[in-house]
Amino acid sequence: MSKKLSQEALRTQWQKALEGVLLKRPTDLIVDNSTFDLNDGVIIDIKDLEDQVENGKADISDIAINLKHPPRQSVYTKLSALLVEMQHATEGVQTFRQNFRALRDTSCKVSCKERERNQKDGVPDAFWTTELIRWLKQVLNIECDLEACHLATMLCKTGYIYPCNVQWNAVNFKISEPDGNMVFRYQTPFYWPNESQFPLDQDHASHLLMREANNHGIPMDEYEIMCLSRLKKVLKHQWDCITQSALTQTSFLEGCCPSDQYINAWQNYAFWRVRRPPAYYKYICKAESCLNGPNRNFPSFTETSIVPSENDKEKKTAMSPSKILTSSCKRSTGPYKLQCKAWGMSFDALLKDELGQLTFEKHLKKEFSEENLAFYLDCIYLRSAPLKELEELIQSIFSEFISPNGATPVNIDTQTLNAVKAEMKTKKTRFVFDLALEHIYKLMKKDSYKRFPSSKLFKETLETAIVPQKPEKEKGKLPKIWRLSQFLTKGKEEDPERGENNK
Amino acid sequence: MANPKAGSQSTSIAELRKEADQLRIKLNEDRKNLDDAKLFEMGAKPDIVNYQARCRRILKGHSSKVLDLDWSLDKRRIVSSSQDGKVLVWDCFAASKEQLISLPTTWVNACAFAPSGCSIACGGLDNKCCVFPVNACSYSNSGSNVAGSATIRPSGAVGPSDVCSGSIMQQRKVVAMHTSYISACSFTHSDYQILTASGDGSCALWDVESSQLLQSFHGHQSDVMDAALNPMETGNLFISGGCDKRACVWDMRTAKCVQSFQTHKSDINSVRWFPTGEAFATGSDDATIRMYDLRADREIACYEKKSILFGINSVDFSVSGRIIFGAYNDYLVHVWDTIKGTKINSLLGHENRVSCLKMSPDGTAFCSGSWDTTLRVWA
Repeated sequence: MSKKLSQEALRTQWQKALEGVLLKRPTDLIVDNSTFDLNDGVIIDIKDLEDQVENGKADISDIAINLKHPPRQSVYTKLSALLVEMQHATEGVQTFRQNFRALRDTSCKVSCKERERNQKDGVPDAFWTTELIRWLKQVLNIECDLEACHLATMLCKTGYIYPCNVQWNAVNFKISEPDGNMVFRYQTPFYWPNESQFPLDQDHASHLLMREANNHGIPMDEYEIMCLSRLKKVLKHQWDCITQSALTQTSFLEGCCPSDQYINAWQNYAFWRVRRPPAYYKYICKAESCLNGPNRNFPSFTETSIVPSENDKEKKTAMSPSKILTSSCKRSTGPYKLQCKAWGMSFDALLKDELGQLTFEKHLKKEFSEENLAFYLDCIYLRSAPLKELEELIQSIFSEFISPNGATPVNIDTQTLNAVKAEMKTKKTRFVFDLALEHIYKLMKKDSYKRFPSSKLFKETLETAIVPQKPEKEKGKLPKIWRLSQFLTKGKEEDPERGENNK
Repeated sequence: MANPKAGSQSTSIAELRKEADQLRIKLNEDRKNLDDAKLFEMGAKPDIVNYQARCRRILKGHSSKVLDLDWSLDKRRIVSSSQDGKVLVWDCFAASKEQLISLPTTWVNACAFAPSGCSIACGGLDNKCCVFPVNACSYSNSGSNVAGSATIRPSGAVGPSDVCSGSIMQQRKVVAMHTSYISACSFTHSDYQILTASGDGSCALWDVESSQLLQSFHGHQSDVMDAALNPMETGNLFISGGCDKRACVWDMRTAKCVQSFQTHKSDINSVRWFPTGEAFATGSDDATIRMYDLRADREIACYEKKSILFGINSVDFSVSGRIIFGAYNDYLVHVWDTIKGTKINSLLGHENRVSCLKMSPDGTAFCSGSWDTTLRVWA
């Protein structure tokens, strides 16, 4: 029954799967006697698809659009495709029929007869971690072990595979090394994330009830017990229905062989582990307490008037500790070395930096063209100025820089000048001086800036520029800039972080 | 007579579609003729860059998923917003919180710091973008007042750092109103204008003081997920990326879409300019980062790997542009070499999706925020 697909054909299948079509192969996807059917609306027979494309009736993308996949879940499409590859009989992950007995917890309360019987049956299609990692590395060209482990962890967290017979938690689950001893199985496609997006609380409740009745070797953990009691309260009026459905499911399953029962139990357990992780529970019942962090006394600190810096113009300003620290740091009034070097290399870096602007202004003063820079800065400010200042700004820039009667007219040719004047008359927007701006910018760049790096001023600044030093550390204590106590008024030995206790 | 008319309408639409497809094919052929060299081939010459980064700070304080973050230009403060409606201002160096703003809505999708560091803008599912004042206005970085500079004018609004939402809500200013959620907001080169991108398919430019709409940009056919302004001060362009898989380049003066690129296979979640302002990168749900060049008018690089299956929420460049960082849904931050196209490193640290990532203004560190409620500063 299993077709031996060549490498070529395998690749096109993968491609098609990537485009949003989940394929149903002639081979069984999972040797699984579970009661859940592959959802028909999503699976397309590969023969069908090939026929349709051949007859020109449909384009692959058209088919993909008509399918049920939600548009933003392209990652699920890819993961599904990857899983399909994995399950291939010969090219996929090598699975084995796990000895059932080896998997079971010895504390499971199953009678001796059953245990004997189960020894013959095995759990089909289980695979070890090593095999999984090896396959992932091979197929996806991953060089690093850790990466493959991480991808495998993600596969588990999203609910495509699950570890067998282990009490695991989707939130902090991790496959940390490729030689792990965990055994995994594929989750049935019905339970894949893109098939069942929003499971109902009622289903969760019936699942928990079934777990309570028979936990198949994995005892219920505290979180599940809490969930069950909460659901009992919330779904009180539907509780009869839920218990009924749980009973029906259990009685149906009792007819199946034990390995099927275990598979079913594990699948459901894995499904609900992913859909209702313990973190989810914390989410909905959490009190808002985490904002009282270590800075809880912060408000009291800022309200005291500790203003150390003499540069502060507005004494009433409340300042945060970080501002106090940075403003009291010994910072040079000159630029840093790297900063200076950047000015020499890029005109834009020079203009963006304030110190750079000052230095360039000095340079321009020597060349008697400092009005260029002033015009440039004003125009840049104009572009993002508030609306109400717009009119007067335009007027002032015009009268100062453009108009020949102005104080400091900039050096633009008559063509540009006339264009700007025409713009002024037709429509006064914030972009009205753009032509002139471009002209001046190019002028500064090609002319004044060319001479800047070789100028005496720049060389001097570069020489006197400092390299930032690490703050001095006194023995055993934090460096002085970190100790907030230095900002307190003298005479009081108080730790500001504990807030002002006496006023 | 309705039927024949409808019939002819549908055939004419089919014809038009064919024509559009043919034109697209022709455009691609023309572009191919102008090809000269592939980026990655040219990138084979320079040395390999080794980038190692460790998580230096973990900022804990949000009680729910962190959705967006922004650095202040003083390279020290970060503002972050989360799903529970709280916006926090952090001092990332000391790993402490400076201010908390509690919004009445949940899902604050976007937050931004003003260039002067005096206010922050945030918006989300409430369809509004509001501006709040921040404590401790910064003067210029050098510690002394530089009177000559015309670009920075602190707005001077200072309020007590207050956990109680009453007084801070009184000081807020509602600037932008859209008809759907705000997905991204940022200040233009000053404190007085805001650019917003919204789920209603439009971007808009607003004046902060008067809350007036200055310009609106329509053209996307679906939600706009991110918008970014050209880092050049003389630039007039901004880019936006949306759920219609298109990245558009807009001219702010004329409100027209100047260029548009559609090569992604799924929603674009994030757009970021290359530091020189002539190219940009987009990150999308199809697990690829693509770089587009404005002058070449096409996609010049695609950063993808077979083993990377999860979508990207945010991208950012290093200051030189040599490195691209991507915040992926598989809980990792992948680091790519821009010109070679290879993955340099993957940073593991977060325990849930990494939803936002931003490089600090001086390039010494970057910060990533995640659905595991923490922010991590890496250097």
